[in-house]
Amino acid sequence: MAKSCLKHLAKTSLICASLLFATGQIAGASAAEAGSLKTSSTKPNAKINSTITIGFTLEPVSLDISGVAGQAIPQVLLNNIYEGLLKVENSGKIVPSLAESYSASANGLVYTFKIAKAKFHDGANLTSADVVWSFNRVLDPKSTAVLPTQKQQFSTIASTTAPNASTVIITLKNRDNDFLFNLTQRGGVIFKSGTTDFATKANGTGPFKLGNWNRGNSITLERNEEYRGTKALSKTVIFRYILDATALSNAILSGQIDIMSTVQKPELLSVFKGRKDLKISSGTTNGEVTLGMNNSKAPLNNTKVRQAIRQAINKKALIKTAWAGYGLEIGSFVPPTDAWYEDLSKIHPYDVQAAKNLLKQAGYPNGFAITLDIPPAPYAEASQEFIVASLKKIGINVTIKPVAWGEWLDRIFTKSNYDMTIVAHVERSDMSIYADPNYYFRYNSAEYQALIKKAGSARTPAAQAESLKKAARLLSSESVSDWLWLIPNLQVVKKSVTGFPQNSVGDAYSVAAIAKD
Amino acid sequence: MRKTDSLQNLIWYLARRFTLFVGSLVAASALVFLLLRMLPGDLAQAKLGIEASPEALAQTRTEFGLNDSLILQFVKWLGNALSGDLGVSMLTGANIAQEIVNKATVTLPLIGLASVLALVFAIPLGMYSALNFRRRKGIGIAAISQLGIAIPTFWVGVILVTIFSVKFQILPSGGFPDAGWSSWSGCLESLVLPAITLALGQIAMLMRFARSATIEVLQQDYFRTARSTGLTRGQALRVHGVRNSLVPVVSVLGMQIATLIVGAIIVEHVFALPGIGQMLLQDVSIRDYTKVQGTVAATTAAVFFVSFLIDALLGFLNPKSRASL
Repeated sequence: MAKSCLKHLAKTSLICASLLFATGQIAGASAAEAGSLKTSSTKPNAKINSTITIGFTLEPVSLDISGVAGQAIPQVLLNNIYEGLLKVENSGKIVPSLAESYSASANGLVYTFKIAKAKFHDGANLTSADVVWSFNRVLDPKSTAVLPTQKQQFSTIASTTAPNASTVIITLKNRDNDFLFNLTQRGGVIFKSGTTDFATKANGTGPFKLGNWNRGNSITLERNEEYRGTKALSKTVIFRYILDATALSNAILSGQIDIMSTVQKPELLSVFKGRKDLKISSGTTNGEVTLGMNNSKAPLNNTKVRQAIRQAINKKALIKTAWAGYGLEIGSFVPPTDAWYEDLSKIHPYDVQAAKNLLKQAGYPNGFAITLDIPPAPYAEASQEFIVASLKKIGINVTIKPVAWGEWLDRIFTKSNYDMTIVAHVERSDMSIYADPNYYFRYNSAEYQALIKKAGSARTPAAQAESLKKAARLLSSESVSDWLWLIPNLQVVKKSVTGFPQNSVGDAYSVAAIAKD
Repeated sequence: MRKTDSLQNLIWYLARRFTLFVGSLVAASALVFLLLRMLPGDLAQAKLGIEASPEALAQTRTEFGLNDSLILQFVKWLGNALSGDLGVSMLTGANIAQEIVNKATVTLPLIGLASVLALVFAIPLGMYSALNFRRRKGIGIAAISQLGIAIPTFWVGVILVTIFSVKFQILPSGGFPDAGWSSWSGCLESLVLPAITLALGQIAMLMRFARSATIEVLQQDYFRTARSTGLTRGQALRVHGVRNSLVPVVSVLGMQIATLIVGAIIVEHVFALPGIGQMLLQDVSIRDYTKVQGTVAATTAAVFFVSFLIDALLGFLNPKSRASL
């Protein structure tokens, strides 16, 4: 879990910061409506034979959902072509998918799944043997056909067995609160037992069958008319890949696509505002833009100083200046799609006078000088001046220092040799990074660590959420960092289109509910 | 005797040209190969993701022969490449040569259409401008052509899209029919704006060549003689001037092939056309070394080949040019 930042940074330095952001990986992007957590409602009179075209930037390099890295693969395949035992709804709720129902033993180690009556696209019936085969494939220690991340996610599995054709029992080595969510993602996809070609074929169970893949241009999904549940609302869905942000935006302006699934920079939205036929959808992601402070270094080791910094920054105004008004003030490190989310933006709210008093109490009536390291990320660059100006008002002189990702990773992330920095943390359910005293925040709180541990071994999701709620409140009240905003999932959509996923809660972009009037 | 000499000369000339063609091709491939290897990042890592175990990485490296010495890797690759086998992409498993051929069905028509447009507009405009040499109309056209050379290609593309796709919605803003050339009208529609974008810079430049070539023709003795038989300037130019002023224009267009290919990369990007240029950009972004290498080598070979053909052609047409290597 402590890998959230490392992961995206390493990826970034491996490829190229700007390109990666453009592809939305840093933002974890794909999309949805701040506050509203539902998939937009589908009108009953929507035509059911229409073709929907959705514009994306990055095309999959392969169809191998478990063996090749990159978000574009699960984006098109997960929940559309392939399914897992469970799936995550756009609200963040985990619901049954290929498992009709499931139950967990009291100690949380044995999960029993009742398998739905489903058919693969080639006509074969899904049985528990396929499920066992799929998990054994992921866990085979000798196999390199499955991405290490997926193997890691399921490393808590001790055994997968099938007492009969419609029941699967998965036994865990130890409690794992991420297990159910992991089942909803790419590593939990169920393949037909014995499948060998994953790269160019996709024999799934989902509401769509794979149509034509015109490399460099588009992937077409055709409705699976034999689907076991509610059939997809549109007959054909085309994932169109347009690398250039301007070309993508022109495609929706000229009516060639129905949904522009990602808006790289909010300032690009101005061209859409005057259009009566288009709407802008702003949903949530897991990306918290975090003003990281070094909790082990004076003067930031003083809670009052950190609180003063938080109270000196007007987040609402900052979001308006830096991110065109899109993005949610969260007040802690939890996105609204997590079950333990609470609106904590009222804790230590914007109040310059209170901030000045806090600095006085902390022994810095005349303020002090401090450095803010800015990595080459649009959100960081867009907020730096605002933060300098805000802190100047309470007497803190901030020097901005631009750093390349390589240096950021080495000096700040690894060696914690810094005062303040801005980075978006995009991993899901990543509160445990604050429990690691060596993580670059250098926050060492026994109370917090105990709460995270308690959440990790909680027997029910409710108990887990209870502990994490307390943990989030603690982070906020101690002002360990400041959380500037939650990166919005911005999309531009034709007004006639309904049912698209507004929030980015996992790697899938589920299209079965999309319809066009 | 003199005839054999001349033939021998020609053969020697062609042989030298061909050696130069092959030599520069190998040198360019080596350069491409080395430059891609010098970039930070590792192919095995790109394939397996950031959390891959060292063992998995090692296994992948061995599988792809990444542990061999650079020279061995290069020689192996070059040997296959010369026989038309560019291998398969390490990331996607796709046959590279086949992918290039697929994408060429977009890029070649784009370049072809742009070249035709360029010739159709540049020659009459250049001649008109030459006929009005030192007159307002002529100077006006020359000035516009200067402007045409100065304007960046992508900007022209953006403006055309804003007008014809976004405002009036009469032409697509980008993309290419999934069905390919079996829906040829759709393909042509998709190529209109990109071809105009790509052609504008060429028109501007070729026009200047056509203009100066025509001005030169106007000053020739044979032209004066033609005029003296009672032809008007326009008639004389049509009968005796066009072909002469065409030669430099066509050879310049031939040499422009490299510019056109580079232009096509930008134009394909702006118009989201699934051609070779777009593919190249995408492959660079996902670090598909082998494919980038194959694509760059193939396009370089195409450019060298065209310039070899033109040299050969000039060698036939103009014995004087054979002397210079």
